[in-house]
Amino acid sequence: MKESLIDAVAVLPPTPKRSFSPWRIERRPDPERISLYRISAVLLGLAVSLVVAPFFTSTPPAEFYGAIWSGTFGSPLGMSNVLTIATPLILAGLAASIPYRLGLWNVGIDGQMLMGAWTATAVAFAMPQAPGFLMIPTMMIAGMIGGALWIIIPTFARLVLGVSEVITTFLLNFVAVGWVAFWCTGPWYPKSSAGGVRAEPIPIQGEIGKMDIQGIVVTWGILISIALPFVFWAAFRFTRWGYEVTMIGDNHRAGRYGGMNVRRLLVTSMLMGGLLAGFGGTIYMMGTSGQLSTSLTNNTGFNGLVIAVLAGSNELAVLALAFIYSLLLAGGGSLGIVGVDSDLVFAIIGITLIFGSFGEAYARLRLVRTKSAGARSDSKVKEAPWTINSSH
Amino acid sequence: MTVVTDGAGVSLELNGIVKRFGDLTAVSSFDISFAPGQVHALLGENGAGKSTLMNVAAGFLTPDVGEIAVGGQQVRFGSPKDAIDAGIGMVHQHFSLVEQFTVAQNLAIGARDIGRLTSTKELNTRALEIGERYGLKVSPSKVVGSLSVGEKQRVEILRTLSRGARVLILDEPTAVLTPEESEQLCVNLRSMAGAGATIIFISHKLNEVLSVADHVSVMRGGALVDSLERRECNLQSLAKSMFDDFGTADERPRTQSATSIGEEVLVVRGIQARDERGAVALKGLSLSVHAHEIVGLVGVAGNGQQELEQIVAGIRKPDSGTVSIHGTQVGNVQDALKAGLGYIPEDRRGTGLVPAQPIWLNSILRIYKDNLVSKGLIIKTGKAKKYARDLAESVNLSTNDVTTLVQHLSGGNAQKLLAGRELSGDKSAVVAVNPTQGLDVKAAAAVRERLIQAREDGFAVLLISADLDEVVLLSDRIVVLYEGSVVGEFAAEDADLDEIGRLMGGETSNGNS
Repeated sequence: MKESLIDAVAVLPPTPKRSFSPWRIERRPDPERISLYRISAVLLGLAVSLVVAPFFTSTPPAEFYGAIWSGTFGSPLGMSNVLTIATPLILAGLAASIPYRLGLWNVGIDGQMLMGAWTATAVAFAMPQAPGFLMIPTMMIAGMIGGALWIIIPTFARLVLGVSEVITTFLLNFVAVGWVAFWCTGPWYPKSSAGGVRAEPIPIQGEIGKMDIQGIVVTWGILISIALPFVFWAAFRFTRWGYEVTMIGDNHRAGRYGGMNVRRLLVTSMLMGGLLAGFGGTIYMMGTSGQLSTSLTNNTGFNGLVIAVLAGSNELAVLALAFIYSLLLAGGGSLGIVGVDSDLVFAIIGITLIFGSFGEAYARLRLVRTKSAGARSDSKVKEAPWTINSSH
Repeated sequence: MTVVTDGAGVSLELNGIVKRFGDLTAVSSFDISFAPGQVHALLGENGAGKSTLMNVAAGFLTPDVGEIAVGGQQVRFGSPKDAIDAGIGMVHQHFSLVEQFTVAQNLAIGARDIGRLTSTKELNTRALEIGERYGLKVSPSKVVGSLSVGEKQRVEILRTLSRGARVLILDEPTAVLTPEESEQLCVNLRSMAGAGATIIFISHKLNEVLSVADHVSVMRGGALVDSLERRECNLQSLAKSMFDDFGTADERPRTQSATSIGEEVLVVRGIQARDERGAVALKGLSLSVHAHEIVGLVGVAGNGQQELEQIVAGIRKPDSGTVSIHGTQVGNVQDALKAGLGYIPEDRRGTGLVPAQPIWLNSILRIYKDNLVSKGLIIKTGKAKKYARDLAESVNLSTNDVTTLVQHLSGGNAQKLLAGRELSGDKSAVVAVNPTQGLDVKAAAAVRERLIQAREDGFAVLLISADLDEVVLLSDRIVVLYEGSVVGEFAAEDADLDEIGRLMGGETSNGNS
């Protein structure tokens, strides 16, 4: 009797195990308002980190918030600073965002910015006597070409040899820094050095003019930077090129089926990324720094990449996020003046971005209360009739 | 080399399983049991419900209705882990191995007999032991990514066995293997069954099933149509039950063309091509389709259909041979479109449509360069939306809001949109691949109706389908494809379906192969 009982236990099937939580994560059927979620999440992160931050510093809260306020909206100088930072940052965001639409990562924006600025400088030094109306457009075009050239090798390495563009674009950043350092310390060594690896300033007529709107002083480069996201937004909606990128970005096989030249599109969108980055570097040098230096970009490229990923294929979201990011950088900068450790500023930026990425996840996924642990019905399974026998 | 499993196998019974996906019933209630010590083949065409049934048995899907019993005991699976705990393991076509890990590391995933900290050496020793225990040779320290497909499959099988599987389900295991590897696998499976394991072998290849199985069950359209001992079946009988209960030629319903056929439109000549793995897929194939004609190309999946459809559509380049439409040679998609070729691919959501985009953007996928909807580099969105609305109306789409995302359309509506798009405009030929697969009866009828309409309109239709019923119903001429060559051609009225079934199975026209 006892033995048979043990036998029975031995062959007893396992009881289905319940999952730990009655909640489970599910893909949203239509993640349409992704950018909205992301931007709201970024703003929420900003609010949370700003509320919490004063507890981690000895600076009195009033002084803390005062510094941030006057470093951004609170003073013409602050606002000038925000817009100056935003000018190249928006372009860097676009430089990452456009290849990203096709699933390509442009991690080399800083390098492309530097090479753009270098090419523009070279052009300026080659025609030092040329008038501004000739020099400025020539420098800008040279800057775009320089940036685009710097992404050609990674683009073709990816297309022909299958080398990941993440690695090649990233590593070329260092090559660009070395190249610029060589010119700054050699051929273009400044007549009066003020420290840092900087080149001789560009001819004065090559600098782009500044606007003064009630004390807010900013180069008119900002107008181009603000206009371009709208231009691209429209291009993706109303042009053949935009249509091709949109469709291929979602389903490259459908693109090929529609008769699109997928490889050519990959090349043009990568070159577009390099061109925008080169233009960003050039415009910053011509309007703000006035000279080429190895620290010209100050990580603008990587910040642009973060913005592009958070904005997720929406150029207007790139604009909005770049502006928020510039507020953070400018406000954070002014905190240093009142004695707040710069690490805290990075922490605020970090927390804000983490919120942003949660917003991204929240936009794609949702928590659902499970009816029973046994009943699983995720959307993937529902798709099965389409996928089951189509292995290609 | 003997292959063994732990202890004796157990029996697996599936009683009254029903599994639906939306409107589609993939498996409809029937009883089937699998005995230990046997290789039990589950035979059926693509979409017959074999994989769905086995995914239910292995805990990947939960049945809507029905019971599972292992060794006579009722069980309920909430996950594949529950199934493996009950001794049921499944090896899928696409392996779940970590390519970057070594064989030993892969075998350690999910294993419960090793601690959290185990040295590489211990893992390697363990992997060797597992290999020896089950009689399948592996090299523990090799990275899985560097292995051949056959070796990967061996690792996958070993992992399943080492986790205690006594019922081993293999989903079309030979589809990815070379002939030599397939042979070796069959030897191994026979050996495992000889040692008492329960082996379930999903396949649509008749010859293979006949060579390896002890028992053969045939599924069609989600139902079990036959379950026989090996000695009771032969190639012909299996082909017959797999594809249809063939009626006589006169009883079959047909919709052949009233108009007599016209001139040659789509001409394929001497096409040779390779598949992704570099193996020869098409061996100098030639065929032609006339205006007012539907030519049905039948064959078991994987005999070159995919390569052929893509070459005709201009997506793939052949090694040699030509495709022409109305005498114009086609080399790429643009050529094919200009020459007036529509293409309804099998994988409608993976190739034919972009599900995450709205109907109107999908409507112009193949004509976006046409002056109708674009001017120079600009897409005329108003015209494009109008075009999409007209298209939606002409195919009776469930919605006339063309900003609806395609992923929100039902399968039937998505296919109506796709077929409508490919048959409208200035076209004269169309390639349709499994155009009704996965659709409910009503939607399937609508799509067939559309193809018949196209024929009346003078189209040359090449219908590539795994559904013999459909081919017989629609075609004026039936062409049989086997291993990249045309092995038979029949006018619809004197098509001998037994003969077609045999040819599809790889038998030559006269007697056994």
